[in-house]
Amino acid sequence: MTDSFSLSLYQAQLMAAAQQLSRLNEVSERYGLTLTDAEIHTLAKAHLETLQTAGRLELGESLLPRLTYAFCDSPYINRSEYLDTLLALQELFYTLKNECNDALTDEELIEALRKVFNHRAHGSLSYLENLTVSDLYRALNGSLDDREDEEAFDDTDF
Amino acid sequence: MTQTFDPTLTLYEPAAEPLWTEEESAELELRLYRLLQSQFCSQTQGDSASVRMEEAAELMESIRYTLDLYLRLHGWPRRALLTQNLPVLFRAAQELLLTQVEETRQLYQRARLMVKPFGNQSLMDTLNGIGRFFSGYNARFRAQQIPADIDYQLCHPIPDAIQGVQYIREYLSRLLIENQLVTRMNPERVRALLSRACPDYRDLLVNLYEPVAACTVGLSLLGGGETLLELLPEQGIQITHMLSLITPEEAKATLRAAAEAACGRLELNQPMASRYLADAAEALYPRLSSSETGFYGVFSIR
Repeated sequence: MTDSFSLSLYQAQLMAAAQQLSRLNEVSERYGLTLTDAEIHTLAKAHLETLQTAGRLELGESLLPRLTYAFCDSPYINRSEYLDTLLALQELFYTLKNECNDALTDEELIEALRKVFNHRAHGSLSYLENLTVSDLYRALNGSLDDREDEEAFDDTDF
Repeated sequence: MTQTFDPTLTLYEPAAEPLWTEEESAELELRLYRLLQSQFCSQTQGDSASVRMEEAAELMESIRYTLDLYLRLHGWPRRALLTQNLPVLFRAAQELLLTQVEETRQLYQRARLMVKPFGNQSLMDTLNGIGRFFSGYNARFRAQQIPADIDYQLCHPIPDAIQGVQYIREYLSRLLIENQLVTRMNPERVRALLSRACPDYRDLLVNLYEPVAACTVGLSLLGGGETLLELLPEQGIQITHMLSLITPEEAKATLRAAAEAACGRLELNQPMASRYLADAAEALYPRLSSSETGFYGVFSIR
């Protein structure tokens, strides 16, 4: 595709993502989380850069609103780190999407990340960064938390 | 259009049109991008909103391939992609592609029945390998790909520009043309010639048509008797001498004319067969003119 086309496509994607995100503020503000216009722009721009770094092209419904919607009710996110958390989550999402060779659908991957973040990781992004594809599968079928329980049991088994 | 021996494609040439403006190119890319989005959604059924760049590029190539085939077979200019309803045109193009696949399947069945491999392993493997194309070909999302194992080398290789189902059509068309000449001859004489040309012709990746074509042209240059499929050293010397007396252009024209005359005598009346043999004949010239003994290899003289 030509450079001028890529540029206009980039602008169009940026605007579309920003519009969708500003609408999501209506939902997230119930949990005390909102993004300013500048933050929305930062997030939308970072999203496109992350896609490029991950070597992916977004052709369907944007990830950001779905990711925001899934995480905005997390007890581990507060206003001051809301933007940074979303920035980190979308990066993680595409890294793991590539690592699992697209075997997990978007919804499954978001759900797995949400489950781990809200339970086993207790809101730790560093914990999510060390997740393997197997961990994601276990999170989806609930066995990751079972394993945690077993490990906790083992620790006290002396 | 790249030179083709597929009878359905030779009838068509791309429609001539003036150069595209930048605005037109940008408009087309936007239309194609929307089509890419739509194709992607059909492919993933909403499971994923993003795709690896390489896969997006493959999908876009498939779209372009499908549209290009439709335009060419209808003799439409590329600007039709701007003036027509693109999703409608694309659906029609996909239907046409499926028709082409079905026709190619029939061509393949014909080849299975008619092609005589003379024990050549690569030809037998290739005939089997092409069969896998029909179960592996993804006309909807990877129309440009060629999921088939093809080892056997044709006398005239297919240009890289030909892809997807058109490649298989072209390959089978050429293979049938080659087979027509080879099976026109006495099988024992063909075997004898092949053994002289390459004693391991059954196991090696050699083309069966080339030695037959060369002998046919050589004998035609001497006035006929092509079905003998054997030349004597004196005849090779005579041909070399004959060609050395004229310019290279005249020599190539003489070789082509000999091929056409041979096709007439052998009742290979399809223009494609004649053109194919004429191309093979012309390609003999550098080998015949490079040395005084080049004819030994060309005509498989022992």
